[in-house]
Amino acid sequence: MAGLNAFAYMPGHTRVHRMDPRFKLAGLICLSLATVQCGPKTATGLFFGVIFVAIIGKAPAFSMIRSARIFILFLVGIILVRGAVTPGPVAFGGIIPWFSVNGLADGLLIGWRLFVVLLASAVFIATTRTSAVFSAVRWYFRPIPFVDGTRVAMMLSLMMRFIPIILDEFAGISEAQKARGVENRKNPIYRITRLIPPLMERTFARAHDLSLALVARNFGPNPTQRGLHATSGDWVGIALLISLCVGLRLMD
Amino acid sequence: MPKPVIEFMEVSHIFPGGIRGLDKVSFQVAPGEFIILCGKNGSGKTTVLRHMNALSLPTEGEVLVSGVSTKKNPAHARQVVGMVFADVRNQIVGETVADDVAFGPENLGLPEQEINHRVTKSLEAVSMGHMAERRPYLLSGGEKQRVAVAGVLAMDSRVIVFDEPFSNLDYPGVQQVLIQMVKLHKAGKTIIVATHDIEKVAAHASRVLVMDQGRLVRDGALDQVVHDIEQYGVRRPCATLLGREVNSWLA
Repeated sequence: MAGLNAFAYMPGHTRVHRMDPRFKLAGLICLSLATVQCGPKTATGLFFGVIFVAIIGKAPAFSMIRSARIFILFLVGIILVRGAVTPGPVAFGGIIPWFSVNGLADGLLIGWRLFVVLLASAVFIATTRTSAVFSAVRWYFRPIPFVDGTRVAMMLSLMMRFIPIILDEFAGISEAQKARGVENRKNPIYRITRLIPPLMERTFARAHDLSLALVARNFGPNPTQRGLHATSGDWVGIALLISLCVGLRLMD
Repeated sequence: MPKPVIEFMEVSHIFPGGIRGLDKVSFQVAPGEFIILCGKNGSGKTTVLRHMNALSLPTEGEVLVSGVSTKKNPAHARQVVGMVFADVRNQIVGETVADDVAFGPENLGLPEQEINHRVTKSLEAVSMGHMAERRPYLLSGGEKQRVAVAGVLAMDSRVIVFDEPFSNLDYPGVQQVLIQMVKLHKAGKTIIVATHDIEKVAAHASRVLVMDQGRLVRDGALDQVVHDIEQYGVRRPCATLLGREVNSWLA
């Protein structure tokens, strides 16, 4: 059930779905750049901007992120590491002696910025077809010398096609192992060592089958470019986003 | 006799590791035929199909598709011969049904308008037009098979090969797929079905090829090959054991 996994395209005909993928990609890059070293106000402003786009695009961004728990764990990990390595007054009244207030604040801010980017990526993927991403990436790389834009676009689109397969296999193997009582084993190392080998084996097997299916349907470097139809609405949308990013950074 | 659409000429295929997948296989497929390719697991059925689609190339011998060698022009073979895989989950790559059907025509570099036309026509041909915007994972097994067939039709393939199309399908699912096969055959397509279970499709086939250990051991009409087919690991249709004619599963 690959399609039930996080980070999958959600079919629709909203304004966000219909946007030219080049503009959406440019918007995502612009937003990501705006979060670099930004303060909490900018990050929060961008967060609400992303939520606004998610609502217009009817993209269930939060449920997508909720199902990608590994990313949330990653963000928590960043906060903990930052708290541990940053010098400063001890947090929580010294209950955790190695955890500083400054580190906690830094970690929360970094986590918050990454969360905003993650949310924006989820909205982008939910509203943009893989074939459209391929066309947009190829278009952007076309004028760059010594870089084979088609190859970059192909690799990106293949990766986007393979991620749901990996998540699908992960879910299938996890369920099969739960059915055989793996949850009774509390040692996470044991569980990981039982999960990784079959996951790798099945992922490679599925990837092989998928690549055969792609070849059988003439997958190659020169497909028809679809969805590249810029409208005035796309220009207005990107202008608004850039204004939001610049305005927030100036106010920060 | 019309010019064959597919021609196997003394084709052998040796897998890495030295295992012989095909051993001097020769046969021809005329346009419009409905062929069953049967044999037990590991007999070489899928390897034969992959050679038709140029996913595998012969180690020895030659495969011609519409007179063109698959070694010289694999893209041509892939356009003429459309393949529906045993596990259609792996074949469906689009985020929506329409997207998936468009994947092949996009790779042919067709204009966007032509792609849209082909997608609509192909989905209508398999009675899936109303599901164009559905996400493929929501479909039943039979519906996924139909999407895979539509994907092949959209590439305007003249030959459609099915690899174990009835595995994992319930009775209505088998009927759905069978209806499509018969419809496509009536529309002039050449149909080749690889299966170890010939009962479901026997009534519609004009010819049966039997594979065993990489060799083509029988080639003829059902009544010519059925008498000793079980020695090759293929179960005889029940009706033939009783001396009766095989009935269609669509009857």
